[in-house]
Amino acid sequence: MWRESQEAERPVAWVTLDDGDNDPVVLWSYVIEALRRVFPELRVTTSPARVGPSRLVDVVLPEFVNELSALGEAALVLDDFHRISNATARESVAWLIDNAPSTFQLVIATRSEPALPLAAWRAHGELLELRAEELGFTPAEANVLFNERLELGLDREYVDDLVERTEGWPAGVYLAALSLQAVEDRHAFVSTFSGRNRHVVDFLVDEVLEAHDPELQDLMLRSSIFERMCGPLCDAVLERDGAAELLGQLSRTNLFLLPLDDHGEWYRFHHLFAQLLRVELEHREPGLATTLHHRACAWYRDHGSVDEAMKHALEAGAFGEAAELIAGAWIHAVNAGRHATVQAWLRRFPADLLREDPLLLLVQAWMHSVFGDRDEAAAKIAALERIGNLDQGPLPDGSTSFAASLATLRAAYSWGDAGAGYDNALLATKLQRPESPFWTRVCWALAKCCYYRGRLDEADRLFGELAEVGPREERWVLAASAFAYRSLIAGDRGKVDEQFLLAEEAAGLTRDRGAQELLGEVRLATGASIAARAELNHALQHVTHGVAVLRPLGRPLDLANALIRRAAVLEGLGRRRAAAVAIREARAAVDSCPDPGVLRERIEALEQSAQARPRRQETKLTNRELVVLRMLKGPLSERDIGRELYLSHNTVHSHTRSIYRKLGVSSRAEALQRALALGLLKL
Amino acid sequence: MQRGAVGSATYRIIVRGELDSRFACLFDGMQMKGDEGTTVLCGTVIDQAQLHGYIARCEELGLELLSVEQVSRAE
Repeated sequence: MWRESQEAERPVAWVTLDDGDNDPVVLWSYVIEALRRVFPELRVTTSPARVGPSRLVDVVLPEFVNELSALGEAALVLDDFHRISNATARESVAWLIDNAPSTFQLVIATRSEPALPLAAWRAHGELLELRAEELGFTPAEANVLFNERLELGLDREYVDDLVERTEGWPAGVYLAALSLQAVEDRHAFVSTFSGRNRHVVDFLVDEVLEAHDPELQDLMLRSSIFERMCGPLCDAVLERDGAAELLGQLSRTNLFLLPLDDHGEWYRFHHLFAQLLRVELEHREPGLATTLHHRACAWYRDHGSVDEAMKHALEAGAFGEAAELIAGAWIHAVNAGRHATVQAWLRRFPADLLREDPLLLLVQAWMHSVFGDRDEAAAKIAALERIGNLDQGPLPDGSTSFAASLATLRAAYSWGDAGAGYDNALLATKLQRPESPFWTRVCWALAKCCYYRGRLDEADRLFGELAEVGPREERWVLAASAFAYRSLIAGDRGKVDEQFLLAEEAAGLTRDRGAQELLGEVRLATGASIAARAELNHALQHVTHGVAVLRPLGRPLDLANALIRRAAVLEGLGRRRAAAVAIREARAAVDSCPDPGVLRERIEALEQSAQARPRRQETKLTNRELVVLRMLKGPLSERDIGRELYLSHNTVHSHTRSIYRKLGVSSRAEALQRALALGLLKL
Repeated sequence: MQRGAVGSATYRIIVRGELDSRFACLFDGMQMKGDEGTTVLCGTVIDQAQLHGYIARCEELGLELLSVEQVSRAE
């Protein structure tokens, strides 16, 4: 009713969340889709799947919020928000609330208090809370439901009794209403109901079921195992036909069967009701649920929904089957940025299976690598190798074998070992087939290892080829990244014009899609090409940004490469202290790589040139600074020096800062020491 | 991790209203009995995660929690 009243005033987008949405990428895909249904003009160019979970808040959400401000009044409802436990997903919702335009309202319906900064919003008066008391039925509201909507013709005193017995709890009131629809002597029913100690739900479930004929009872009980259902699914799993029609019929009279679309295809039971039905099913037909879950798994698998298939396989206790499913599906989920989904799948397996099942170990090794958990990944690989004697045949994810998958994994995640990465990448090109979904990953790893080992011709050729392959919708990402690396290679060879054009190509591809923030290597290439034209201040912004994007990804070679380029730009700008800090960080990054390839020579060259650079020009102090410097040698404070020289304290302070900067020091003692060494002061 | 957060223990959960014992299938392994307008669930939980699962289930069923109490802990 709220929805109807609100929709008259402004567009309302509605998202009912379930466990599958407990993944930031899935959540935002649905939110954008729901808003697009009410605002067809909504344009969000970067898809959450493309950007991935770690950069949603930087890349997708700002564009989304921008678009929202252009739309005018709007509301978004997130129903069943208690299902969102993923921290990134929750934080992204909190970010939206803090940054959304005032024309936008977010409505959250939840069964438990959400872990959002409620106290702060409450304090700012930005939060309207409807708690259990406000949500409960008053006798007057129950009267509207029973006598106006359902036309039960119930005396007011009985309505009052029911509300008192259920304490206004909406689900209880609905259950009572459902039971009453089929009861002949309603008043007798209400009296027995009121007089008993039994819990409302216990008392009512029998009554609600009895209100329907046996065929419908059966359908309701058995389909309670579904999260959501449609006619064909029910027909297949319950081994019957005509379920679609029955569902439609039921949804018109039963408030607990909720349609999920406008064309009467998919439905779900209210959670409480489904729970009650499941209890009753187990009571009446013990063990049947397992059989039903098996059939549901098969139906979903045949209809391409791995997520649902896996859920039912796990419910049925068919862990082997579930492991096969995840081993086939994880790569597609990861390619779509649904990392949290794969994590959630894994969590549903028993611990001993996660430790022992080769397929599950392999998926875990990949996922830990994707998340940058190097040690965890290594532990899973070691466990897998301890099992030994692994199946030689193809894997469900399209890899040719366990050996092929492991070589691919070690090539793609070489953890700073350019040599080992290269060897594994070569091995992987022999083991994997070009039609495998891993092929682009293998080529990518090979090209990058060539680049870091200084095999520039080979790297250039491989990057050139990569831009042409890969799935069509993702090709631009590969192309942009390939152009970026080819630009860096051209720069290393001193071909400045080519370097600039290639960097422009790369930047153009990301700009067209509003994804300038997405690829660190593109910003890096742009910065390097601008630096090659001696526009260092401008270049610094780009390389600094590139470092910021690459840092959280945990790839040591990429980060070291970016840090070296940033340090070089700072050095070129003559910002000696900042450059020294950057060089130190770059050095640490290079040292963290077991085999940094050509990066070791690069950092050494940079360190040498930094030391060799003459300091004279910079340390040249003005006459006034020399006067202040001499005074600093004495015991006077800056304030007292000011009095001596008839200068304000501020002026003395700024001279002092300037002296420190020019001498490259940060304290008075250091300044004096340095000045003595340079012969600016005498003892 | 805190000591209290790991290991199994025996718990007693009391909710308002009497529930038939067929609901026990939702509280795997817990004994269930009605007691003058309340239902007492008693049994071993493996860890805190399982206990929180049971509490969530009470919430799903609209059961009003009266008490959750640790009776003893396995050493």
